[in-house]
Amino acid sequence: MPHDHCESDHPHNLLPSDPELRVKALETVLVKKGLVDPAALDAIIEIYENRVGPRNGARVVAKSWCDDEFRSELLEDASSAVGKLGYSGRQGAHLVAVENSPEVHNVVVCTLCSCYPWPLLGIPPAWYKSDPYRSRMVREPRKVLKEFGLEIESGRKVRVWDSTAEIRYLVVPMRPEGTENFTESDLADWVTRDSMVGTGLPKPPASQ
Amino acid sequence: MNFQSEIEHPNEFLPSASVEARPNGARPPEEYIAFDAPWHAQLFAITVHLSETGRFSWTEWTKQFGEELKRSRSARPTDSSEAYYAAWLAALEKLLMRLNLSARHELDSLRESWVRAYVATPHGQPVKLDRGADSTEKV
Repeated sequence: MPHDHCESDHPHNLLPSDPELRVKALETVLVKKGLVDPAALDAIIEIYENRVGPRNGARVVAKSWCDDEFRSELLEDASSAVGKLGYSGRQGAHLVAVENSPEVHNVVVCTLCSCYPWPLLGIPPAWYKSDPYRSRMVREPRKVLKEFGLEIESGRKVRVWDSTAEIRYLVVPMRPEGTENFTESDLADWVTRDSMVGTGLPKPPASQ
Repeated sequence: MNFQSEIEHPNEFLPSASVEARPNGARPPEEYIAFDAPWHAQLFAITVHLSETGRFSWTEWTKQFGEELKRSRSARPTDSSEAYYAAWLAALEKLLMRLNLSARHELDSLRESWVRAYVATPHGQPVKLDRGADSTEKV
């Protein structure tokens, strides 16, 4: 760090890291060329930090557990079904809902990069973006799921869905037993992010 | 490799202590942290914005990013947000250069201008690009 270049009497600001400086450079270049509007960047960040996230997906799943008509629509054309609830993708990706059953457990990965249903789940967690998850989930899904604490019985099929820029998947977990009298909003509290990626199951709120 | 213990948020699968403290079993919203660092957010937003304004398609972006992740993986595993967004940054720079929206010398020169601005700004004052800027800034 070129601290010795400082000729001021006061200590100067700490130099940001190399990637921080490169991102600043990138933004400056693009703003000066009129390709990027700083206000639009702030708006995008605000949405992804505060307005999207796994609670959106949880509401969709809980609704599908309580409303058969919605469930059919979700499984038939998820983009349209969630669009009616106000959740729409910005990248124009098609959303597909895959439902767990006693016969099949679904799990989602993006082997290419980290495609993910943003409007419903927000920005993916670090493990979803990691190399080991992306490379191993397709090869040895049962083993990876076990590392998440999820053991899938040998008689049950594990289906791995590889997301792309065009198609994103949402896992619809099975409604937990003993929740027959729960309201839709109570049920939404059971739906965890991981249960919608397929690496976890719905859980009572107190144990999350 | 154990996903519960080795990936970035080792405690995210464990029950949160704060849950117990809430009355009536009401739970805090599931912990959701979109970005670990401001520059990750900034980089993400720049990319989304450029794609939304038609500079490139999202498919084109994921292809470039996928290639970069593959390249960076052979050097060291991308298992932290830091490495992931470093690959993202390299991919975006390459895509912009390929589309002639920017050039290496331009990005490097702006980076240097920012370094000079930081060095020239006394601590506690906002860092502005024109501080410490000289004639090398050509955009």
